[in-house]
Amino acid sequence: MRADKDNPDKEGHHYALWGLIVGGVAFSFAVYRATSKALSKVFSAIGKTPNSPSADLALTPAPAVAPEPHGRDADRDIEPVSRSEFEDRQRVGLVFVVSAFSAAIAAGVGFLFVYWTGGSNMLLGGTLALSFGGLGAALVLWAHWLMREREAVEPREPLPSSTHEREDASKEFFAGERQIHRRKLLTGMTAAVLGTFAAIVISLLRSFGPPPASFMFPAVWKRGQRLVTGTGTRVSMDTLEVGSYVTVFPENSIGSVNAQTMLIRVAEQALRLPKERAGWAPMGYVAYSRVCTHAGCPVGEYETETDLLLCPCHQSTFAVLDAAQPTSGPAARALPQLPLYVDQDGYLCAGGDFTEPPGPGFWGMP
Amino acid sequence: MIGFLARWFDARLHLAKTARRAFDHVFPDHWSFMFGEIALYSFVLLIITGAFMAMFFDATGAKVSYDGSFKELVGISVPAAYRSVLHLSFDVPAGLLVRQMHHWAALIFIGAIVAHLARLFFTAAYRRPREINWIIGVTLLILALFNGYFGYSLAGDLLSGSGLRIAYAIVLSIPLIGSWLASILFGGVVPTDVTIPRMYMAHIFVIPAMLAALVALHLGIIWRQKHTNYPGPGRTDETIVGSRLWPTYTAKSLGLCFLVFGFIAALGGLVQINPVWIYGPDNPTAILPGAQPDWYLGWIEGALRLFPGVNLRIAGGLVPEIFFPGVLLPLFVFALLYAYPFIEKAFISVDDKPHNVLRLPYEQPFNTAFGCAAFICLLVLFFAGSDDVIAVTLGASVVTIREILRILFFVAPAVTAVVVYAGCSMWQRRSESHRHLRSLARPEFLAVTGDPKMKDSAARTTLPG
Repeated sequence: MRADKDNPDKEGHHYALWGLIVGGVAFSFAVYRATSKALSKVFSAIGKTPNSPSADLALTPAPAVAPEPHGRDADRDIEPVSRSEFEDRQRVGLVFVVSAFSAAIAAGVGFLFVYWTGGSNMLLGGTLALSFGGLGAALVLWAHWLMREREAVEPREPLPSSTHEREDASKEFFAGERQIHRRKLLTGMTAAVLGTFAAIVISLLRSFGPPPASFMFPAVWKRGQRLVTGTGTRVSMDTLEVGSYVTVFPENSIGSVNAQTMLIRVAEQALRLPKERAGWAPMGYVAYSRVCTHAGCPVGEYETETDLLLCPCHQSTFAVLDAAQPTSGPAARALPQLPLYVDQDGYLCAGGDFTEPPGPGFWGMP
Repeated sequence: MIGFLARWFDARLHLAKTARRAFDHVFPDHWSFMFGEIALYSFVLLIITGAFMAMFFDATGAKVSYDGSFKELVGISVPAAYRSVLHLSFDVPAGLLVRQMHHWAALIFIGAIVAHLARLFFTAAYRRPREINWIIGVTLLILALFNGYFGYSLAGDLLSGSGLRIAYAIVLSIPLIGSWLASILFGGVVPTDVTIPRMYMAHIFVIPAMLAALVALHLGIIWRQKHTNYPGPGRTDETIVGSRLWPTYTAKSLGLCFLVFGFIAALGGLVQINPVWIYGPDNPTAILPGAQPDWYLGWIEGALRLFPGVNLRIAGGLVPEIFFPGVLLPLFVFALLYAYPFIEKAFISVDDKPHNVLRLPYEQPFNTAFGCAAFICLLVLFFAGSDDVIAVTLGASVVTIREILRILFFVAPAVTAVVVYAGCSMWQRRSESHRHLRSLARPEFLAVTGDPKMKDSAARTTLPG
């Protein structure tokens, strides 16, 4: 989820931290490559000096080509490196593995310290990352530098069973199947029971929600209900300037999802409503459902210059002057209109319900 | 100690022979084989962090007054779920770290699955005998998408509320049964009292249980069939080349596991994700401009925005415009993914033989061109999912950007397909003539390597004269 428009600098912050992580990984890798080259040179140089004590070191490689039981080495390809070359490798590797393990332990202790002293999320994450990452790196480096075996070849067994195995299994199966198949009545009854169970399971779905008719066609506005703003203020003829708008609700259900209505004031003579809706927009006050007919988002934006309502979810636009017909974007149906009239106290009232059920479309929509 | 335990278990389970064979199990070494493992280890981390979070989450949509330590929202009426998320983020030690790691792990989990799927597709790893695992894999992807969506819909913040209303509209749009389905799934017009508890149960139990079972099956089948190998000297359909399970592969794979954990911990600690306290609590009459879903639903979001507003009625029933991009498109995409191995073997390569050596992308121009075109198609949709942000960034109107993307949706994949097909064919011809020349120069070469791919290409090439 990203909607950090309100915090533009936070976004930049994110990129910097992403850069820090990716850059950190790349940098450590570069350091590792450079160090490994340098160390290899150093150790091979030391290894070549006469009377080197390397043979006495405890870094003995695993017994290389010594035959093991079960013919384990018969099918094994061991990388053809000589014993002394491998010893040099091991010394380089040991430096890395030990450093990685040390980093992991140090970072782990660091995490504990930060945690118990109530440190920031960044320090917690950073130390935990170094601890996990150090352990991961240590294991990979261990395998890479210190394990002798490089590439092995294993034969695959053919996947299909042999003809004999198949025939044997099928003979056994059909011997049993004939006993079942003979009992036509019992197999039929088994099927009937299973059918009932299936019907029960499907029926239980009914418990999960009310019949759609109960919530698909709610009576939203009733004739005579006064329009009020989100704070409960009634709307009179001088509430809005031409070109401005406000979100309104029925007086007794502020915040109602289905009843949320966009009340806009336009120049009365500019309206091009259908004939049967004449008189629905007194003094240029025109009201449409605020729930988008496309995906149900609130159609919360109004562009004065173009007289368009805009849904910020998928950018459908609706022409305020043309009974909220969709003009661009994915919405196909006009926003339902709410007929309005002015009561004897001068307040705007609903003259009935919306022209259609508000919200996204469905199969049974009139 | 190890010896004692080994004897103890072997005396009860007769394990020695199995273990001996398991130690020698060979796993191939190639960077592209790690995507599946990354997905597996992010899943493990999701379960660990998710279990931690579940201890604090209150799966209730009812409104309560916020009274925690995030000052800006104190006294505001918020869903109880939202309050518990803020409590975890601000008042539980390391709570924010775990929460952000969970969200990042989810994004990486799905990303790794998609990368894994692309690797399998472009190397034709779905061919016999691996069709079953392809089907399980596609199912895992679908489940992962749903679970990711349910997860971010739980927090009771404004963005997840908007997402839920869109999902409700999509379910509602299904012809004939849409409103029944919406009632069964959501219990009425969202948000109802049952919406969050139901999604929570699906998110932490039903779908993870299915994921875990299918992951186990997926791995079991890989173990049985063994991995594929990239083509190369000594790689044949009858062998597998790589590292043995014990000790090399164990060390490498566990190492990768902790590297994945470390990377996700770095993201969770350093890079903020889903700051629900900035979005505010859910409010069905409010909306955040510039809202987008998590990356893996971007293509559906984009399709919702690009699809034209057609008002279609069939037999008196309304088929809302959102049905086509919201329901039919994903159904089509996943049906195609499920069916591709079977379509490929029946119509494209006309080959039902078992294969253990992978095909390289340039060796299968049609598949590669098709895959690239499909990818570009989804990429255009993905960008369409933020067409408003693009329009603001470029200073253009949304209508213009939308029209351009609509054209690109058709043109870009077509161009991609032609270019990729031509490129692969050229590459293929070149490498075949190279091999042909080599085989003419050294006839004994083929016999020595015993590489069937080489033999094939030599057989396909007509000798001059």
